[in-house]
Order: sequence, then structure tokens, then C-alpha cells
Amino acid sequence: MNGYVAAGYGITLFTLAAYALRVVWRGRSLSRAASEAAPGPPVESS
Amino acid sequence: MTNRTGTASALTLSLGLAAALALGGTVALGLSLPATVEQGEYSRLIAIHPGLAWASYLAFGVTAAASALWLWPRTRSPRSDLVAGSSAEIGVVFTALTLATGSIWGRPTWGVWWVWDARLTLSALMLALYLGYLALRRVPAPVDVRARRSAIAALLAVAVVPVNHFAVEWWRTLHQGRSLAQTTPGNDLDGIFVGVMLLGFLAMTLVYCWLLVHRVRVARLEDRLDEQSLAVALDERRREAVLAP
Repeated sequence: MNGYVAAGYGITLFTLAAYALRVVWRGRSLSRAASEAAPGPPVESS
Repeated sequence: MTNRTGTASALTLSLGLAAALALGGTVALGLSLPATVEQGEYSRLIAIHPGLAWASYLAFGVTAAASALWLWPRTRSPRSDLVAGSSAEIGVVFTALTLATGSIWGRPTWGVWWVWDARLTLSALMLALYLGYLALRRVPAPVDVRARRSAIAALLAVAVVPVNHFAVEWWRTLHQGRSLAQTTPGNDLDGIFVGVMLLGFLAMTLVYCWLLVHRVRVARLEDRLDEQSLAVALDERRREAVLAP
């Protein structure tokens, strides 16, 4: 395969895959953090 | 949506599968396209380059539409702001890839990696404008202030999209004419090239939609975590106030 053609397809697939993984992983870690960081019971102020 | 599976859902699974199939088909068919007399094997890049450019236009169009919805009081919703920001980020990725693949295509066919002609310059300007838009969104501000100034910036920035699209007709450029115009009778773009290029449009559209659904859900989680952090901080301050003598 021609080097320029391989580079064009390669950079496209690599970048899209890397960005997609970043978004999905961030969603998972945020989802986990959101369920762990749920606020406790409210404190009565006198 | 916000359980252990993160931002995945039945919708994203279906969209992801369709996107993967379309993208796989585009790559397989694109790499098997015949070499042409004019460009040899380099014409195989037609399967991905126009599709990437289309997806960037689509992303910035959605950003503008969502921004307009936010600015219009009757349709204002926090979700519109999240869609606008998420779509702009994805559009930046597609624009960067459009410039990269265009440059890779230009080197063997034009003899240069880059030339300051109208289409390329406007594409670079479009990338710079939306990087600026994303930077603007990161400037600390109340949510409403951030949404308002981002929406105004998005509606100003989107003007570059049609100018970029028609640049190849309005000015003399090294870049070829509009890709879809090549599909009309009388043009010499062969049927198989048109078919693969259109499949590339579909694949990039599906990839964009899949990414957008995930990215909007991530943005909503980010906002929710910010609210939870604020609630925890306020709770701690109240406890301190109660314990203080």
C-alpha cells in the first residue's frame, strides 16, 4: 500500500479511536465518582 | 445512563455498531479502489477526507443550532449548552483530521504539504475559531454567563462554515471543486468513487452521532459532579459552623 494513503487512513482511525476511548473512559470514571460523591444527610443549622 | 456502564446505553450500542460497520466498510472499500490515471493510488483518500470535512461542518452546524436554542428564551435549556460545547469539541477533532488528511493528500499530488489558498486557509481559521470557542467555555464563570457568551461566540464562528464550503467556487484555489458537485452528470468522477465517498459521509455522520451522545452524557456528569462538590463543601462549612463554640 502507498505510504501516503496508509498514513491518511492510519491517522484517521487512530485519532478517532483514541478520542472515542478517552470520552468513554472519562464517562466511566465520572459515573463512578458521581455515585461515590453523593452528599450525606443535611445538617441542621441552629 | 450513569450506572457502572458509564455513558453507554442501548442507543449508543446500536449507534456504535452501525458506525463501526460503516467505517469498516469505508476503509475496506476505500483501500480497494482502483488507482486513477491522474492521481494513482492517492485517489483512495477520497473515501475518508470529504467525509471528515462534512462531519466537521455538521458538528459546527449543530453547535450553532443548539446555541440559538439556548439564546431563545422559549427553548432555553441547560442541555442545549451541553450539546453545543460537546459538538464543538468533536468538530475540532474532525477539522484537525480534515487538515491532516488533506495535507497528506496534497503532498504527493500538489508537491507541497501546505499552501495558503482559500480552502486550506479557511479550514485552518475554522479550527482556530473553534479552539478559541472551547477555550472560552473553560473560562470560569456562572453557568448562565458561560452559556450566553459561548452561544454568541458559536453563532459568530459558524459564519466561516459556508464561506469555507463555497471557497472553491468563489476564489481560484488549488483545491478541487466541491466533492458532491463531482457526482453530477458530466463530471468525470467514476461511480465506484462516488459510492465509496458517500459511504464515507454516512460513516463519519454515524461516528459523529455516537461520539455526541457519549460526550453530552459526559458533560452532564461533569456538571453533576461540580454540583455535588459544591454541596459537599457547603455541608462541611455548615458542620464547622455548628461545631464552633
